[in-house]
Amino acid sequence: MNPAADQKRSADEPIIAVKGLEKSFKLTTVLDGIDLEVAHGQIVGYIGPNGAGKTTTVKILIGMLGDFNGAVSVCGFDVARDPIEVKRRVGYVPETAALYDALTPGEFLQFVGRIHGMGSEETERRARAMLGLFDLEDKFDHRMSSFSKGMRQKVLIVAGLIHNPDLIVMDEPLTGLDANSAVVVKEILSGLAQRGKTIFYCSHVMDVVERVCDRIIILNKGKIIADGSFEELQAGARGASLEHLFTELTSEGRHGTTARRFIDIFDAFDDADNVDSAERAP
Amino acid sequence: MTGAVLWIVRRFGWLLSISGIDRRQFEAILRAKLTLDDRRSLSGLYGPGKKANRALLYTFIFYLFIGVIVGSSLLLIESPLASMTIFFTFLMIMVGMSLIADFTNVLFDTADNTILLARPVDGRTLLAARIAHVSVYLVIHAFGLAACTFITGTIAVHPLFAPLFAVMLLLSLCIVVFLVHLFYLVTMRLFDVDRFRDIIVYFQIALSLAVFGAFQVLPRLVDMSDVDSLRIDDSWAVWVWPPAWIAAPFDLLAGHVGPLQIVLTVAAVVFPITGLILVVRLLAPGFSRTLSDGEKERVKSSSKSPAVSKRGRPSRGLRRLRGPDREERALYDLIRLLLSRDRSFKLATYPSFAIVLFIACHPLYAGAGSFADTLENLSRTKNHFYLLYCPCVLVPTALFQVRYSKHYQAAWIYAALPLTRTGAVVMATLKAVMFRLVAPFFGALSLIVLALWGLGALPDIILAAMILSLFSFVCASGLGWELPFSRQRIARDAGGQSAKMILFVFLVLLVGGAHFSLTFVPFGVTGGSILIGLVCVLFYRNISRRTWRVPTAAAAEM
Repeated sequence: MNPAADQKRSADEPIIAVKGLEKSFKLTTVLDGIDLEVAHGQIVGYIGPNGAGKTTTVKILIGMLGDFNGAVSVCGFDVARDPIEVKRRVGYVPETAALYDALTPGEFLQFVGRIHGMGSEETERRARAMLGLFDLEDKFDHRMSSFSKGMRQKVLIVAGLIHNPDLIVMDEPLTGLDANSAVVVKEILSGLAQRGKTIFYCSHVMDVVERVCDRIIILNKGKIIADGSFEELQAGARGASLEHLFTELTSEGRHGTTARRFIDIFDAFDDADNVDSAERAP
Repeated sequence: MTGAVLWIVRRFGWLLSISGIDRRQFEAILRAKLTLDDRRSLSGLYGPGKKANRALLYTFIFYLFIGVIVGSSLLLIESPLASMTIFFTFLMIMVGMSLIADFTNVLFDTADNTILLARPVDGRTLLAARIAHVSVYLVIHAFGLAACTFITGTIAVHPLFAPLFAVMLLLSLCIVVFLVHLFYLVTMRLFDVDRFRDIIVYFQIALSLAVFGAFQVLPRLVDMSDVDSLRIDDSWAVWVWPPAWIAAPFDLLAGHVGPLQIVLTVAAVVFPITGLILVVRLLAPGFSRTLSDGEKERVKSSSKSPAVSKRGRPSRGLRRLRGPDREERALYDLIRLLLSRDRSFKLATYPSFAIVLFIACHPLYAGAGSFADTLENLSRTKNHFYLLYCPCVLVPTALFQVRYSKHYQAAWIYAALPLTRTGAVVMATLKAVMFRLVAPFFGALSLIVLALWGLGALPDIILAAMILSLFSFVCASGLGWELPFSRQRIARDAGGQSAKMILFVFLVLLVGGAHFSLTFVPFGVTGGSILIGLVCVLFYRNISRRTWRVPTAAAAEM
């Protein structure tokens, strides 16, 4: 592999190029024709309601899911043909904070680093430095079974960044983090983007996406229904928050009715309680 | 069973009402707890992870059955002090161990705190429900074990046997509760949460061995000729062994009145009552505080807990053995760590290791006459084959269990990392299981064989080791390729595999027989070793070079 040629190719091409991506599990269509290009150094927010296909897209992008229709190229490699090459260059922070509890962060990160071909001294140095910034230095040799959700999430973030990937794919990375750590992560993301890293950020938390991402893609029922900077998405409705835009686009105006019907059920509760206490009173 | 228990509890509703307990809430909590119990898998009775729907009923029937075996064995012993001591020893150990093994998770489950503490339930109702829950559990186990002895004793011994037995049974349960309580306090004081959970796992393993022992060992003990005249009165041990105190009144009932019996009887009444008062007054409040502090306690104790100790780097030669490249060595180290720490894996495999050891050593203690004679005779037989091939039985069990984990979702890591050779995963798993679990076991048995049969058995040991390796390759292929620690334990998984397990054991017998016949051919064993060694190399290459994609369905779930 020639690094110079690699560099040249990646500078010309988009780091993510998706054409006509379709994916279905058994009978349900999850992704229904996704077209998408992401340039180097962008922070892309990928949002959508539950079941829209966000996590599936992510798994395809990082080479975890192989059988799909369409052409997907990441970091200049075809995901279907060269998943290993893609995985070498991608850092992934998964949505579920699932880890082998019996391991210590040190042992887990050591494993990840060595699979990425790093030496154990280098891995340990990086792991200690990064965990130290997350206040986990003293937990380095403690089993993760006693860790809180936020602590696990920090370990996962470090695991996703430890091999210095070109593309960072994150699925709800701030889950369980306290406000301070969340701020640190957001600043890390901005800093990494300035250094030319690309970040693909999946989330439900609209205000984070609104502030951190310079491009927002909204997915609904397996299709991209909006794509652009926050300002571009606002074009129709000036001053609206992303949350407002999102519900407008994805719920087809139903959210108002759902809430109203929920409140109606409560009225029925009150009536029943009145009858109940009237019965019990004598 | 839940329905029946609740029906009985409802008869005592008036008692609850006067104690200021909310009956509706009490019953709702107890029902929820019993329903959960009914669906829990119980160690010793089912394999771990198998789902049961009527666990309480099955437990009762199972303990009833054990009670019949033990109770009927004891009928032969004439001295009531001896027979009842044995019976209560057995009962208290079984109940105490199952309390620790099965009930600890319930006691230490702080999940219900988040549900119940947020609701308008007062402490008194909660405490009553908790006590009722533990009592139901104790009663189901103890009554199951005791039913047979209760009936035979009442018919055969004395009309007063029944009421005495009932009282002594309750007293013995008080002792069990007191001792288990002490056990919890001491272990929680001394160990951190992880070590504590490990200890509980060893108790669960011990329990399943005790159940095995109840079927295998006790009837054999009773077959000994002089058991009917067994006496323990003159032993100093009766003074410190609580079950003997519980048994003393039965000796009085039989007319053996003496200072020993009277002192022990007094102890049998005073000790449990003092113990119970201690539990209620002194121990329980601190205990409940620790329990309700749940989350806080966990974090606190983990920060106190010592860090995992690191071992030095293995030598170059050992590193080569772990794998040819960095990828395979990293995988090997990961799986080795998980093997030594995954509790559900230990729970699923360690009992079978102990049982196989027990069976493998059968020729050593099965002979008639003295132990020295047995060993002397043994070295003239060819029974060392038996010892050498027993470890084979463990290979399929361990390889089959290694795919399961409570944290199966963590297996996304295999799909997300750039693993180039999937053969490396298979090889690393196989090596970890063989080096860490099977090899030490085989080594120990080989040492026994060398000690008894001398150096002449060495070629046989080498051939058996070769065949063991080959067998592990065959098992790994036969059981299908699976990522280690990547699947949830579900009952239906096991069904299809037991047929394969039997096939594997049959294969061991076949190969062992072939080995045996080779001993009659000059240089047969040496030739066999070389041949099998070559086949092993072929298998090794074939497996390590294998590539297969992580199954899509598995990746989708992760």
